[in-house]
Amino acid sequence: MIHTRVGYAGGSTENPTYYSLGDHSETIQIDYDPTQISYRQILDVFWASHNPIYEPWSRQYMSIVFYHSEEQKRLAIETKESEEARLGKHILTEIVPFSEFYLAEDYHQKYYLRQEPALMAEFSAIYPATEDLIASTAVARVNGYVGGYGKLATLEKELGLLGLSEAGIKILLKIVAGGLEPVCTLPDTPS
Amino acid sequence: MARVLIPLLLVGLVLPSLLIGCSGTGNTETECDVTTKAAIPIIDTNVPPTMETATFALG
Repeated sequence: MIHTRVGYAGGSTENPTYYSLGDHSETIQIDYDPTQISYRQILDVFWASHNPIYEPWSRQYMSIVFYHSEEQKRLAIETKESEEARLGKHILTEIVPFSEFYLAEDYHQKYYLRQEPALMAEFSAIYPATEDLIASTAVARVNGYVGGYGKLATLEKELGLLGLSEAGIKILLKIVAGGLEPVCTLPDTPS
Repeated sequence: MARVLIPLLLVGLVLPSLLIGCSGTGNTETECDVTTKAAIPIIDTNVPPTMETATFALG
């Protein structure tokens, strides 16, 4: 993963906010390097990370694939059909063309990292503006590690590239090695 | 010779002071902020050229 950001998409309301979402859904946007991870692998994580067979409470919590190309559309349809066959149930996920993405408020960005103030402070010193924080691969990756994703072996390989101090490195290693509780534990994701 | 030296002096004197964050006050003194800025993580300086975007809502 190169960059990650959270926001709102899929609706027609202009400039939505968390408290005035209109007809949008909570959305994550990822920039990735296709030479390192394929869109199909990302879709595998998408299907494994939520349960798309239940009707959501509202449009805020919809399951949607916003495709950016015909190839993404083809893979989304193909994997949705595979999931339906595997589960033996109808999947409610919508597959729609991407149109517009509105960034969520600053306090929603890098949520896991914000739960570790010492690490957050280090990155805030490097990137005082949220837009720069969001555009940082180091921040995206550390946010993922703090959230309980990623393996220790992967972290050890890239530890020197993340811009953390010695103290920050110790904290992150402790979290990933299991010495500190990660913010949440979900299925492991490809590195 | 002066035509060559003056630009060289400007580059040699003015550019380094800009790099370490000096700002002229307009007076005879110059204030310098030499606080060390945190370094940009190496991983952020090597963004691959083949980047693609994926967008999802997942409940």
